[in-house]
Amino acid sequence: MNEVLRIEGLKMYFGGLKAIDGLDISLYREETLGVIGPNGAGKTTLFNVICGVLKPTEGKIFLNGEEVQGKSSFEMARKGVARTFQISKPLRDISILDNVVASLGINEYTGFKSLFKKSHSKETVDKAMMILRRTGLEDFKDKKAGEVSLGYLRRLEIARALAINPLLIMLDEPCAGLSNFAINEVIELIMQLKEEGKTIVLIEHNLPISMKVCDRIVVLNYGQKIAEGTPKEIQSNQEVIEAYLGEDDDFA
Amino acid sequence: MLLQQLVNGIMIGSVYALTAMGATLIYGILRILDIANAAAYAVGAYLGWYIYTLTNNLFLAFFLAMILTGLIGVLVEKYIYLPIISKPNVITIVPLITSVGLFTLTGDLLRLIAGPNVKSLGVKLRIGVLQIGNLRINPEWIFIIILTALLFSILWFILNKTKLGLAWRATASDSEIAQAMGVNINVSMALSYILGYGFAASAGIMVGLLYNSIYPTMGDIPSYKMLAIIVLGGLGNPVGTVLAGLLIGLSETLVAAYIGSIMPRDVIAFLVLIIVLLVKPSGLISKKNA
Repeated sequence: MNEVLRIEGLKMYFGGLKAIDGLDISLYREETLGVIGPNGAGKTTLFNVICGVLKPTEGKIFLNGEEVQGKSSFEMARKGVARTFQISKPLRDISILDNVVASLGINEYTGFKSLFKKSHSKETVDKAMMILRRTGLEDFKDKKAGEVSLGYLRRLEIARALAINPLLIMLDEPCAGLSNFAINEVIELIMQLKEEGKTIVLIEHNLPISMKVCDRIVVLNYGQKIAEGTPKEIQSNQEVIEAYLGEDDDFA
Repeated sequence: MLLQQLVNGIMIGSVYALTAMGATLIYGILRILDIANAAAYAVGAYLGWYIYTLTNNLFLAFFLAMILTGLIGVLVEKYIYLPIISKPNVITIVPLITSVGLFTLTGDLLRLIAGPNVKSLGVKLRIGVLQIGNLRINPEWIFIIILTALLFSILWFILNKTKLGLAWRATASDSEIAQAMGVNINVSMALSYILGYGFAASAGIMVGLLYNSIYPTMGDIPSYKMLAIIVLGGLGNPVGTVLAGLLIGLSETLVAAYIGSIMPRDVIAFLVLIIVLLVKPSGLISKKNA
């Protein structure tokens, strides 16, 4: 199988706090990997390290075989790592369309040379519209991103991730805070991405969603991997159940 | 009479907007209130004077002074502000005090290098007075209006029509997200300073040209008036800055013409600021949900 991402002996310490403490993870092409664990298990920190927001204390990250740990977040984005955020963060002051147009520009922000490149070429706008149609945002294209509801923002995050033509899509709790209706829409969108053969990492607190969407699940607790396997294997893993006891009753 | 006052107000207001635009562009990206933008105004005026004295070419003086001041801005950003704001847990007052220090230092450096006396540009423009009915516009103003309109058009074009500008707007909206889109925010920061200090430099030369005087403390009044303008415009918003500059220019001119000099002219900017903020606390154009 084709390995897209490999993490070796990853550690991320904040002073005395060991947010990630010796983690090994592999991810293969066209696979959807779930990352679950109780609050504070290090899930979002893991995302931040992979995306280059944080520089790891120790360990290595390989993307398509290339060593990438410590690269800055814009470099990681250009290498094809797309992410969404747990707390939706659109570019609030600019339109939904421009949010996607800005992401489509990923490989064209060539410093001051990009002064001579049109921001809204017909080709770019057409591509952006295609992505907006796919994510059901077409009717909102001219609205400022700060003006639409949370469900649409989550879709916008996915639209933006798609716009950078990603090698790897990392979704950080895309369903958190959404109504059941909106959750189903987001799940449907993720299932579509899966069918298209996208490689996905999903952090999801809502276990039934992870079980439904993921091919394989990694369970973190206190920054360490305590279990790994198919959703079925994870569901019956004693250590996982213990880690979650009293934390969350989703498992019951 | 009223038409003349309105035109005067718009002319002065556009120069105010140009002076403050740098502070707006810088605040938009780095979230620093850069008082030293007013130092760029004075440095630009001196560079312009120097280049004009050497070459006798006003366009070259503007062009080179803007570029040189813009480049100084990039150095200031890269070697002074960036190291300060990248430190963890920096309180926002630190870069502000740094900028006040830079501003004071620059005024003294100008005095040391160029001397304390007033320099005059002594430019003779080859355009006549524009007279339409009772409306009269001096040649210096014609030149300034055309140049200001040109500079704002260039700014609008860069921000709204180029990839570089789109990256800048993305960074201004949220630098973390912009990076996740592949934007190198160092470039956006540098753009803020090149344009910002460059614009301040052009405003400095314009005012030097209008009053035919350039002196080390010429940045003093802009240093605080520009604050009133950028806050009035809704901090970090280029369109708001233009509106705020025009509003303050008009208010100053109209108060002076119809109410008389009941108070110092420079107080009016702050009066307008207070009145507007009482009605609209986030400034003329505010960020939504930010």
